[in-house]
Amino acid sequence: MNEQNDSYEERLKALNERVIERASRVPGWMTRWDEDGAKREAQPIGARLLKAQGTLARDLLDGGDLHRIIRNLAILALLTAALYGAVIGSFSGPQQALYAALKFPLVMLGSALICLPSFYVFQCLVGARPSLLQACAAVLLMTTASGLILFGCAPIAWFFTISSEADAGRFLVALHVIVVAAALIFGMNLLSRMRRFFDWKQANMFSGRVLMLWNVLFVVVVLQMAYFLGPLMVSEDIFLRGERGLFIKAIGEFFTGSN
Amino acid sequence: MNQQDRKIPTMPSETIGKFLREPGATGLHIAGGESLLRFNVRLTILGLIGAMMWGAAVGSYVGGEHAIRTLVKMPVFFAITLFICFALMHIVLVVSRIVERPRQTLAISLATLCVTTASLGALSPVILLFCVSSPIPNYTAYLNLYLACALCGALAGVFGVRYLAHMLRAIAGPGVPVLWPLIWCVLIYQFVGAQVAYILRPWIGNSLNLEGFYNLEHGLKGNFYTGVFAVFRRWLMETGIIT
Repeated sequence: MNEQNDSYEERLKALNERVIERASRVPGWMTRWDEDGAKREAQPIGARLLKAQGTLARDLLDGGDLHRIIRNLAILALLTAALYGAVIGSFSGPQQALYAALKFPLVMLGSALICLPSFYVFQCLVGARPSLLQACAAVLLMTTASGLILFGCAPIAWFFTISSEADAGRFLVALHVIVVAAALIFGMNLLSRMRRFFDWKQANMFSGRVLMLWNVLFVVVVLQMAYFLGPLMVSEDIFLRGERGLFIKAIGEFFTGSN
Repeated sequence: MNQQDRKIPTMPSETIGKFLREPGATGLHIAGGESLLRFNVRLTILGLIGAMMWGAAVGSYVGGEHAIRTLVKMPVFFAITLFICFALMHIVLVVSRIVERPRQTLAISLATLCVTTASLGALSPVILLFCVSSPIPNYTAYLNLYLACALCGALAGVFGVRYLAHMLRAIAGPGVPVLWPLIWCVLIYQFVGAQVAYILRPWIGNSLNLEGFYNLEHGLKGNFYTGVFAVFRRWLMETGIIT
């Protein structure tokens, strides 16, 4: 009986040690970000988003030069979204490509703008301490990171668009949905990592509790904006359809094949 | 309560952000009881802005004219509900030994409403987008919007109650239970608020041909609870559960 007890206690102790060790282990990306933070050389905002996220985290935390960062992020988000919009619209010719290039940045940046107040207020309400500028930079960070993925996927989507026939519309819609979803997941993951990094640095900048909820809200707003500002892919010889409706209707139409 | 714990008598809400994230500081300020008049005026202005934003967003489904009406009606709704509930809520808080003066109860109520309306105000761009892009007249879209607004309201309510709980804990200090006063205050406000909202309808739309600042057909009359019961009864009859 005693032997059994000893064995149980030993196992419990080993388990405890493993749990403590796992909890105290710092993920590799955090140490890399920390090292990035010490670097001072100037890099373009896109390169910082992809290769030196730690420098952005540092600037976001310090609040240094946030106006310039916000401006650069907005410009990059605008350009990448316009490019991907042009790719979406190119399915129906150059005029629709131009229309979609104008409208898709509105979808991405408009959603960011619409969701910014809720991001800031909800973060404040759960005790986090971002300033409005920091919240704005964080939302744009997510949007621009998504834009970079869209930029990376644009040649692939373009290739499929120009090489597919008119009956492949549903395939292309699915492709764009997957690309945009992947881009948003990348952006949200970056924001989530930022939050974990700040927690590790013991800076109460963002709260993870409302971040998930806000992410859902952002996705819903992006879908509705895309529906409202449609058509993006299929040409109807109009800039805006002007039809009121919920994005759920478009999802239903996609799956039932009706139009 | 230990007086040393009640330091920080300065205005806790230098900015909206600071006010939102520090319910404890707001509570301590209210407990201190200094410059509450100015504090209440600021809270009223902040609450007014949030409520008007939410009202305009909700009313925008029908159009600009209705949006202006709901923009005016929303702060009226919050104010009337508070006016009616105030005496009972003050009694609850006094009996619970949390506050001593009506000004403190007013400050607590306004701060909670401020947080709620700030949350609603923050969500109003989202609701505005859905309102202006939903089909009209369309009963399904109307119900979808109703559901979306109810969800936003519930979320804002949760934030408001959470803030109220933190505030009450800071005001009451250690050893004074705040759970029951909190529950009573929320129940009283919700009970009256539902009826006030009912008589001030329509909010989202006038899909039942309701026109005007309030429905001229029903006037400022009607009962939310019997209305809900009637709808529930009709639903049970239509589904064949009762005859």
